[in-house]
Amino acid sequence: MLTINGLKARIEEKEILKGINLQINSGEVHAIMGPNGSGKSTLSSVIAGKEGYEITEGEVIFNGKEMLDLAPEERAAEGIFLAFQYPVEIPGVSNTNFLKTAINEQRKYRGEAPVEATAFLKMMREKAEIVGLKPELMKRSVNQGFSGGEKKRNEIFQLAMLNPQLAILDETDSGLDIDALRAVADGVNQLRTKENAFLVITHYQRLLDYIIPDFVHVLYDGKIIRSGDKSLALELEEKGYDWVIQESLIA
Amino acid sequence: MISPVIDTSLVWQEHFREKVADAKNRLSSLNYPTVRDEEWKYTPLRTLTSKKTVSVEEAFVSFPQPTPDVRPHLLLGLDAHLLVWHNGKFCPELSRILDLPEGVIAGSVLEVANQKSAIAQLAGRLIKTDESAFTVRNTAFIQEGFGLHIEKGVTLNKPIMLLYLFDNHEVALEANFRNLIRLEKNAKASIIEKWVVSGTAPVIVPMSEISLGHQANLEHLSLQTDLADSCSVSLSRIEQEQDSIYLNDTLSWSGQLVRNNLETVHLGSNCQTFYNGLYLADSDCIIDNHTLVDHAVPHCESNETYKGIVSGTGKAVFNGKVMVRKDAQKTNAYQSNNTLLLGEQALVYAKPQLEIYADDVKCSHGATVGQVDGQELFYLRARGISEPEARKLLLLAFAGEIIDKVSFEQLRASLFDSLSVRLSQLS
Repeated sequence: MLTINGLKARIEEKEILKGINLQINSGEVHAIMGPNGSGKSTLSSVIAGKEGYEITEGEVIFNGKEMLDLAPEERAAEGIFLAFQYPVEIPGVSNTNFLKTAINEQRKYRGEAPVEATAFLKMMREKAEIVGLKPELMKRSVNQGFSGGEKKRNEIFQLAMLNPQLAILDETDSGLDIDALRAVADGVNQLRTKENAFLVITHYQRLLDYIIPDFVHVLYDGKIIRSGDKSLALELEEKGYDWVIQESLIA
Repeated sequence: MISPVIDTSLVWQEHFREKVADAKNRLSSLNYPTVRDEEWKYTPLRTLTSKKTVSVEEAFVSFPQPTPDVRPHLLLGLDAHLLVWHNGKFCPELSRILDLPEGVIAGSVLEVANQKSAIAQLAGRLIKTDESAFTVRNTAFIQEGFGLHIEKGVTLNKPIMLLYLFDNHEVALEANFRNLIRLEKNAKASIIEKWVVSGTAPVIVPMSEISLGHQANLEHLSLQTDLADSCSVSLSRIEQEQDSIYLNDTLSWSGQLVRNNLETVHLGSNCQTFYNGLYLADSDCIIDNHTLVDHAVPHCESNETYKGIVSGTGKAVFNGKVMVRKDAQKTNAYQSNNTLLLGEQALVYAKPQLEIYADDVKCSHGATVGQVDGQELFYLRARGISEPEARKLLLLAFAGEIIDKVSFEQLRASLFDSLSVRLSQLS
């Protein structure tokens, strides 16, 4: 589904990604872990198409298409979703209007007719339940005045509404208490299918107790220095990152 | 009330003859303000002064005036009395003002002034002839305008819409209007003014003298949304007696050169004054709002919000003056002004001007000038919303705050729609 080959990116003169290789197939959950400043958020931003990064080498192929040539909105319509680490507040744009516009713009891109108003409202109710998002928040401006937990739930709610093939969760666990963390993870688990895939970026192992990954990758200094299964996450939790870094330096 | 025959020889003429004669004498030696004048520093009047215009009177003698269709210009969902001026002339046959409550006189300013000396006496009391070239001309040609008098305790049953239509293709008109409004104690009214220009771009100079009695309440919406390439220079001066409320909403998103002066003075305590304004300027247009709230007495409140979007080579000016005089203790005055600039050549001159001479007051102001937020834009695009659509959504949300404040709730939906259309046309 997603193939990243030799991806290098920098901000101004500073190289952040130094050659990333990653293969994600349908039905898989991948976790990327790593210390602060290793390039985790840059990787998710570059996949989603955020401006401000210069891609110097490499490719990001999604379902056979090069994503680096596409605008962020086109990548979204192709089926890539980024759950933001810091969801943005947008005063004056209601959650409902925002989502309706987003769904219809994606449908337009794919040559489909706009969603029916009643079907849309029904879907809103159903999906809000999955993440336990209060219905009254729908009428409010996007993320405005939402608590930290509500913002993250809203990200997963949007994920449920847009139903992408690949969802990237960028430090979705940061700033969440244990209840909110469980709610978010439950939401994600309900949305897992054989057809979609998840890339979970996290600093801590904690989230991976709830969203069980098939693969765990350690990102350090712009490169994936080790990959393994879920036991790698536990080992990192126990021993920290230093030993992996040391081993990779020796190698 | 309307009668087709207007007898101008009564009180009005008696009262005003000298003023008009005096103004006419001054016409030959008029000097328009220039950018050297502090009040006009950012708004050069070349576009206006270089126009070869013809007065409304002359135009009516020279050209036929076919009756226009007013229906497309009426406001959806609004049940209102209607007064129409066609190419600067009051048009009784297009106006509909049938079921006024007792104690309300509304119509052409001449008629109302003839019937009500309080209205005749208001002319020239708040706006003096010799203030500027505009006031001189407006006084010299003081034939047209809107008059409203409401007796004590009377509430106007529905809003009055003043529709000013310009569809003359032969000449550029200079149209002066003088609106005179007096609400007696505890009277209530709401007025909507709308200008629609489809012909040769005119110069429009509307001036209003508005006097609100004790506990009176006036809602005043001004729609400068269909001015095409007109020049419009307006002056509204309002005096408020104790416990009165004045609400002004001004939506300006058309016109080549638009200058609004909106000035309110408080004569008694516990007055409330609200100003909400929205301006959109693009392609060489100038929209200039000069506002004043004069807190001359204690215990009054004012709240002002102006927002604007400037794109292309457009230019906007906001000068919001709040005067809190020495005796005006316990004043509450708030002002905010926010502008988005959409291009490298777009300009705004923002000048909040608070002059506070009392020491026990709560006053605040804020002015921001910025761009569309990059984070917000990326968030929307990352959800699949195209860049133009995302920008439009953000601009609509920004400007929509002012539409949400418009006191005519039933108009908000259609105003949103026309704002949305206008935003997609921004050059």
